[in-house]
Amino acid sequence: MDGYTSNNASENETITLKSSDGIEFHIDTRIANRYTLLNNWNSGGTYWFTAFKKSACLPNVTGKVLEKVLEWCEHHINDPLPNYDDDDSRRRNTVIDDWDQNFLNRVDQDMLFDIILAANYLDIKLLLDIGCKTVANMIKGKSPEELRSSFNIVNDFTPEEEEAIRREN
Amino acid sequence: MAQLPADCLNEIFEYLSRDGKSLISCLLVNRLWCEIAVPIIWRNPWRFGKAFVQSVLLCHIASLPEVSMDLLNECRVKLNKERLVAPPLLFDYVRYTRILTPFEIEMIGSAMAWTIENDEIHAQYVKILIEQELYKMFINKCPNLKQLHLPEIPIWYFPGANSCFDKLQRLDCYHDVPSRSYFELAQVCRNLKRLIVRKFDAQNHGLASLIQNQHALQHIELTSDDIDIQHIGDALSSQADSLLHIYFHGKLCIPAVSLATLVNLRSLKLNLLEEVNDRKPFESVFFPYLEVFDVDDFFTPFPVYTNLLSKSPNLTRIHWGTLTRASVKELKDYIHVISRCQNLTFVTLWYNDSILDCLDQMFLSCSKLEGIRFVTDSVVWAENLFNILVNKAPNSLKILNLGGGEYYDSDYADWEFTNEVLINFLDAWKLMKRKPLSIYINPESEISFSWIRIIGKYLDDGTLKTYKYVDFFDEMECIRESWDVGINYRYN
Repeated sequence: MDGYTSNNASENETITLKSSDGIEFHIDTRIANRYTLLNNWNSGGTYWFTAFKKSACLPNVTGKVLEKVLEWCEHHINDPLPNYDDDDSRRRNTVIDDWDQNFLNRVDQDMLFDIILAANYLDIKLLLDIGCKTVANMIKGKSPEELRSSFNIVNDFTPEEEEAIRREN
Repeated sequence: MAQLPADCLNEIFEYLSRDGKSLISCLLVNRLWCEIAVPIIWRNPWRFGKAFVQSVLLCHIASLPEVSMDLLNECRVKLNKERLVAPPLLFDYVRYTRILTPFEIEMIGSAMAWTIENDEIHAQYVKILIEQELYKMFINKCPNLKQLHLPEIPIWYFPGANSCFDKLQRLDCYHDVPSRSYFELAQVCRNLKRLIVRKFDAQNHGLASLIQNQHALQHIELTSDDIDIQHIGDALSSQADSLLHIYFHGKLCIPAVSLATLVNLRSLKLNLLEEVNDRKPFESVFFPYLEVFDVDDFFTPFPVYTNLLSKSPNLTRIHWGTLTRASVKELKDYIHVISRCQNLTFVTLWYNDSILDCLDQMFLSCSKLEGIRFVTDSVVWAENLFNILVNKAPNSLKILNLGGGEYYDSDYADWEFTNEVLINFLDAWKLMKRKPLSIYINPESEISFSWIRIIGKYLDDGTLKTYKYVDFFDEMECIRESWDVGINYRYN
């Protein structure tokens, strides 16, 4: 089954990405180059790729998630390249631009986490940033109980540990 | 539900690094969240203010090694028992520290001990002893210390100093550090990106050695009463490949020929108490990549700087706190020069009605302009300026500073306009759907009730974002951050 195809696929060279559940996506090589996907393939460690380096299998990303990631990459293909050197200035604010906000508002929490995981795995820093900012905004102002409930987390502290953390922090 | 791994959670918590309340909530969610939040909170726990101070004191004091406690006891230091908790703590909090200043040491020290009443000498002794043991603890236990205010105690001799100083990225030296100490520091401290030296003289060769021994210094601030210090100039030249930001305070302490070697500079800040004396070589200085030029200088003739700026086409910000007076011709030359900087977002100008035509041209070329500071040393009728701003300024303009009152030698400087002129200006601004305007004005301007009412109306309807009286514009938060370029090591 064929999945997402870039608008410019017929004009530009394309490569094929295959998701963990076997869905193939034909993408503009500009996307792969921009987000260092090809660099990772060439280094050989992270992904499996064919001898011709024209297709790659992503064993950790499902078709549904890959489709969203590629939708984001396609939208941002012409953005100026950010400066990744200064982590601190990157993290100074939690403002997200309108398109990105709208893009992430349309996904549920499971998909949001999957997009973050995929962005981390594929080393797409800007997508990882907006995903993390979104979760950070979800955390803001919530009590520990509300956070556990929102993110379905079990409290695994012993009462003594919890008391010590409260005392020391 | 997918669970996020530790590295993603860490990225998320970094965005909350200034939000103490949320981070404390994260601490109490579960063990994984706690382990990730603790290092972020404790790298600079003092930033969360009063609410967190007791915890910081408690944990830092409890972390003091037994050998230090024994030493203090032996030296008749009466420890404040209420502050002490029984170790062990859940985490080794001290090891996450990234910023260390005398303020923190003093806070911890004063929370630790009572001194013997009426014995000033013993009190001083105890104070120094406690400081010494605290520094020993931090130097020995903090593998990731990034920013340090150098104390007067020679801490580079303490156990663990080699490893600690090797990773240090920012060093602030606020007292007169002897040349020998800098030589010693140069042996262990080689990866600084930012160095701030508030006081030194021409005899300090150790400072030159410290600068020279850095692998890639990016930012330096130097304060000195001496000029043309050749060895400091040579040391800075040795860092020319990496040096991006430089700030001279007091005197231009290096020869202009050395300054000319720093061709990669992105920002140059000069706060000078006397005229640049080495004018000839200064004229040949060429900074092709310069973006920020920030000057306080009452003494150097205005055209000297116009010449310097004429060779920096990439300027984005030009800020003068104080500047020497310019004739109309000099001012027009200056505007002509800066009009070539198409990326300019902020500029400072002497105001004179004769420059209105040139302003028109500048607004056409500098279409990204966001802020303008106009200064005057006389009484200015502002209506003409308002008219050209509202009709010709780029749509990006959102900050207007009308200053000049800070000039000590001006008899009376002020911006004058009637209520009608102000209303017309703001109505036109609103009509043209321009960005909300922040106006910062000379505090000597008179304030009337009707004026306050007018300003209030335009603040309410969003035409104005801010209207403030300020003494020193560069202290305004809205613009200070944009000068404060360079590497940010606040570790918030």
